[in-house]
Amino acid sequence: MITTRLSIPEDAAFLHACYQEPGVLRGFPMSTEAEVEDSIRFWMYHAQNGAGLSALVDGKVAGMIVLNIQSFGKFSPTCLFSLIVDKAFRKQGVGTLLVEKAEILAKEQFHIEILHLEVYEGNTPAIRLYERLGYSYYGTQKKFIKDDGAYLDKVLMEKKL
Amino acid sequence: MLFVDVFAENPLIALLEKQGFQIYAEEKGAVKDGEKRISKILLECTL
Repeated sequence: MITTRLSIPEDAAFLHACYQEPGVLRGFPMSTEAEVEDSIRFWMYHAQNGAGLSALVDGKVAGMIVLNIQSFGKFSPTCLFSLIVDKAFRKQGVGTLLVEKAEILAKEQFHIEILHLEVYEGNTPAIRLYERLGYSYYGTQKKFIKDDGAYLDKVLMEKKL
Repeated sequence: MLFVDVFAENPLIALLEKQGFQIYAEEKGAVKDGEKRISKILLECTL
């Protein structure tokens, strides 16, 4: 059974472990250990403000999601979120549950009206998941990532809550 | 590539387009100005 709770500081260890899995960083902008550390610090900053959720399977963290709540009041209607699911727990509903719970958290706790997400081209499983959950495409940032000399576009998706 | 975000209705958009920027997305209702919601226009330019 999958359950969720607000993320706690100890969950940072899950992010460290996930980012060390081969191939996982292909879906994220970080490429060095220092960049990974920065990213985890940023993630946990928002999580410690009540904007992060962790999914548990048999008491073990299986995935996390975080809302990047914007500090400027004028940008308060929207926020971007980040999602990561442990490879061992993919295709079991963890990502779906985390997104659904994060939508409730965003709407009820932070009064978010529109959720945004960014995904790199070629990440078809993620794009399909988001489409199934009601997210729609609204733009592409071309050549946003340069990884080993190859460029990747960033796909922008949104959902009105 | 250069990317820039500008609030809708800002005359800067026309100026940027003259300089070669192109609109690639619009974030509808992304900006709250009192009770009003305005869009954020995302522009890009290939250098």
